[in-house]
Amino acid sequence: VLLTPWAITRPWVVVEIACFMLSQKRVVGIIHGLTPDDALKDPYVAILLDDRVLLDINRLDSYFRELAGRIRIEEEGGSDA
Amino acid sequence: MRERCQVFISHAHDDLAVVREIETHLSGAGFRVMVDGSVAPSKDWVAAVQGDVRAADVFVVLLSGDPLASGFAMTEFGFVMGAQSSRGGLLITVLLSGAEDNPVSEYLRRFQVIDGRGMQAVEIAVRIADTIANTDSLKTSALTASA
Repeated sequence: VLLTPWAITRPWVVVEIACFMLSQKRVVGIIHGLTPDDALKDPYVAILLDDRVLLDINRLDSYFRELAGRIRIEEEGGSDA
Repeated sequence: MRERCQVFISHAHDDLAVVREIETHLSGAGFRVMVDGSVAPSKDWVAAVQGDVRAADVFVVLLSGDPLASGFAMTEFGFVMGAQSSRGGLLITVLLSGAEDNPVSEYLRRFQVIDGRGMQAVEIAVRIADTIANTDSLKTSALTASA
């Protein structure tokens, strides 16, 4: 679920998160253009995403580097197995 | 076999008085009705509503003036959509005053719709009960409920 300054003002965000939760889908909040605290200001979004993953892509380059690192670690771990 | 047909009613808080009347009439007809009356969002509330939605045979969504302004209604609506899309179930939309301005109503028109504008709560409850009774997959439990 993309959480941007515009998206968090829209009630559909809550509908989508709730719908995915009930369908037992994995829910990840992707933050862009705001801080994690701002993203969770809506009490419903905060409760629904409480113990779920918030992914901050405000610094997208850092995120991609981190992702590439994770993939390398998994590949190396896999080759050892 | 389930003994009682379970009906979950999603609503905006402004409509709680109407919902309580509908609940009374449906309960009197033998249905098990689940209505949330919480006043503040919490983890317990989320768990309770999820449990009710998962247990429901029938989802009734009451739409009125500005449900988009209600986080409660939108969260419940999301749970209902999730349950309905993942495992099916009868979804009945009841249009109340102001529903014509609600963008959700267009989306929900593909399901069963009761135009409750101008109706008394008891009439709406009767229409809901009739709709359930006329749904093949629910006839057994609906008959059990009215017995």
